[in-house]
Amino acid sequence: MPLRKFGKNDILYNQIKTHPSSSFFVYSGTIYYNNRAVEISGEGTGSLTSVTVPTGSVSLFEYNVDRSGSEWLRHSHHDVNTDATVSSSLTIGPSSSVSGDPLHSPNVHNTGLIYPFIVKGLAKQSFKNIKRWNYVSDYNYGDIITGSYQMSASISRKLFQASHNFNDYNITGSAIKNSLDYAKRLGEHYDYPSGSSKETNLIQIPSIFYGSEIKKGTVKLNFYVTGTLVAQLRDSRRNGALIQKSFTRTAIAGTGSTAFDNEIAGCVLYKEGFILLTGSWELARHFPTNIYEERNVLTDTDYLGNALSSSATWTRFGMGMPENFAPTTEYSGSTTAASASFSLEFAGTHKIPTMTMLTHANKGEFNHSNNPTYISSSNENLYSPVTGSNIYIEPKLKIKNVHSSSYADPSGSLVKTTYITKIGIYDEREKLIGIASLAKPVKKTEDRDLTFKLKLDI
Amino acid sequence: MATTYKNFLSNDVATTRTLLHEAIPITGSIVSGTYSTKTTAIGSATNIKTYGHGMFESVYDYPYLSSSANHIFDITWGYSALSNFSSSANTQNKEKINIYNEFAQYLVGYDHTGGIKQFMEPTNNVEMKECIFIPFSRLLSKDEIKKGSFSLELGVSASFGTVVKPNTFLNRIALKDLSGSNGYNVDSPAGEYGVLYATTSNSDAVMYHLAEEDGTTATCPAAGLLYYQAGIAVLTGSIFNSGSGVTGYNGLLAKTWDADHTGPNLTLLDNGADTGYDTITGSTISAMSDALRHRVYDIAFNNTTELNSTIYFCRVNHNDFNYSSNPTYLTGSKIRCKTMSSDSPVSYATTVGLYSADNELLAVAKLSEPLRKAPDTEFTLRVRLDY
Repeated sequence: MPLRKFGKNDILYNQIKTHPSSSFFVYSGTIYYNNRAVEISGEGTGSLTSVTVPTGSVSLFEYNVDRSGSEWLRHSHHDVNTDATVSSSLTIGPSSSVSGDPLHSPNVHNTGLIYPFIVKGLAKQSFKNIKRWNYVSDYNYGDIITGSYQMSASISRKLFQASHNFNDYNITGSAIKNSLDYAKRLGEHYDYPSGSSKETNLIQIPSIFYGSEIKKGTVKLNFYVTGTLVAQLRDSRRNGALIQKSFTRTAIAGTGSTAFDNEIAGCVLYKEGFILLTGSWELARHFPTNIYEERNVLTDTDYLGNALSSSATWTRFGMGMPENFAPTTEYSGSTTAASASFSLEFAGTHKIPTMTMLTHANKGEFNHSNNPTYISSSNENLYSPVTGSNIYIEPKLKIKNVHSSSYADPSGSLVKTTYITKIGIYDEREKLIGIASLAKPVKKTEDRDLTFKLKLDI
Repeated sequence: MATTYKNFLSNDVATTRTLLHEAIPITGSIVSGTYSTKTTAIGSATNIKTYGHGMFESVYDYPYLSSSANHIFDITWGYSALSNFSSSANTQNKEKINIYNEFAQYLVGYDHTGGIKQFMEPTNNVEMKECIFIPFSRLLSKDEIKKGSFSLELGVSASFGTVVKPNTFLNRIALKDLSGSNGYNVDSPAGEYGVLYATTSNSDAVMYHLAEEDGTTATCPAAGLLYYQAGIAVLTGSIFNSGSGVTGYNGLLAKTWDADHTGPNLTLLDNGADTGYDTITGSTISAMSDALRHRVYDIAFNNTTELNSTIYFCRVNHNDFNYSSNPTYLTGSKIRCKTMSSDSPVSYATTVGLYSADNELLAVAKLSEPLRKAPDTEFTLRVRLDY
């Protein structure tokens, strides 16, 4: 097959920017991501959701779908000798013993879940969550180090009271201090001066949801009371300032106030994925827990687990989200409010590098094929060369003439015609590294110039 | 932005290869039990995808219409045109031959005449003309199935029902690539392969093979092949046969599954009439695949992914990198982190930049904490790049 080199203008590198939108709805301690229904688990597997991650989370690997890790017990068998149900420790590997041959063919436990493992060796490879000290002291050479695919990501929230000194020595506040200071050139809403900490509500968005940065102007926070929109924050000026718009509530007891319209209630750190809310004015007055009872306050919990009550403010936004990424430190249950719900919407930014290749089939090129059907089947002695003591002559083969003629006979003069079905991409050492297939074969005659545009997303 | 570069010497760069494995357990409940209840007919489970062409069926770990579902493996049955089973009167005869040829072309290759070779069990040099094919998803098998780790456990009790019944699994056999950990065959165009040997796996099961001794390939009958890189298990068609069926039958386990070698073929379909591999003559590939699924008790193997790494030893000699061009390094034209003007210069290394030959920054390695560098210290930073 003929090969043709790309010219200097034949390869273009571009970047496509996509802005996938995300929405979260928080109600009564549960987060719903993109209005996605909860996929229930299969019969008897024991897990709550199909991807075995909490509602509102995305699973990083989506590997152990609908497996609880204990499903193997369903298949435990009855041992007639002991009259007991046997569910002994199961292994995967060449030997029935757990240890096996540790250096060459180790066995691993069959937990019912897919998990990665690696044998500690001289290459010193390990998993990210294994600390260096543990790697050195807890494992000998030849030991098996196991990892886990049960990883998920979700938005979370941390509430700081004024006494926590978020603007000063608080560990979380200090961590984002530099980012806030850098963004301060965009406006005072990023200014968190030392010595004047206020109650601060921090919403944390993992980058798996937004990519390289949150798109400016797309952030929207809605505060609902009994399903009615009370107030909204938007970064409408695209400078990170979250500006309020109020909605009057008349159907439910208590009215919303428009006095704080166009007030800035917080800011967004677009690249870091943080939303800071400090607006402490009252958004609504009464929160019915049911039709007979009304409350004036929402009971919230700060990041240390201390309860605090106040009226509805932007610092109450997101009650019910987990307060930390680690489930063990989550203060669940104390931050739910039956009458309040919240939604958070934004668009992310994903950059997809693309490569565009222009491949040319010029006049007079690619007009011959090595396919067997390119040769006329009427050729005699197709593969029988003329041989003698001093000669070796391959027979002349006729090309099949597929050129149409107005007459049945004669069939018309020969026009060399090929049909291009695939384009192969080769590297500089002529190794095939990619194939572009055409939707349908393209006719190529000697007098035709063709250019095929190939696009590759990386 | 670096202002000082240091070239790598030939002994500063090393390449290594590490094998990462994953444990892959697939229980029979995923394959046939989880999504088919008593009200669900065989073949209607929502995690089983069947196709209009009827050539194979796909098994997912969750209802396949969900975006969460992962494809696990396919199942199909086929026989050679040279098999005694081959007959134009059979259901899907052409498709079954085509399936066999398709896999044989890929996994076994061609002989010197250009003809498609038959599957051959290398221990006994017996041709396998009737087969069951289980190609595993690349998601699970990755670069290859780890040699010696594969196990496929099948229920071989005579009873059979529309749903998984414990009785189906009262007697079981496990097919394992017992010799895989210390040997394998290489005469396949699709890579290395090993032999699957049948062992019993249940203490209260009726032994199908009297002299069976776990781990001894000599006493465990061969029951199929496992292609490690391709991730395909090829089982002999005789695993459910007693051997008293069709004469000229080419299975490897014939007359061995039952202790006294006289047991009947296993019932594979719900009608109870069709038994053993003979069932295939009047049944579709989908029906046969369903039959196999309902006898799968467990599948487990470990996979392997090759991690290639290049290690760069960045050697910082005593007189290297003791100064910084960071704007914060100087205050009033004096080095900020020195107390006495007579002290030696000192710097703190936080990042290692790897540059190409024309000084283009290619990669950055971050240190977990800044390293103090002064003329009286030198160290080597080991930077590993995985790909």
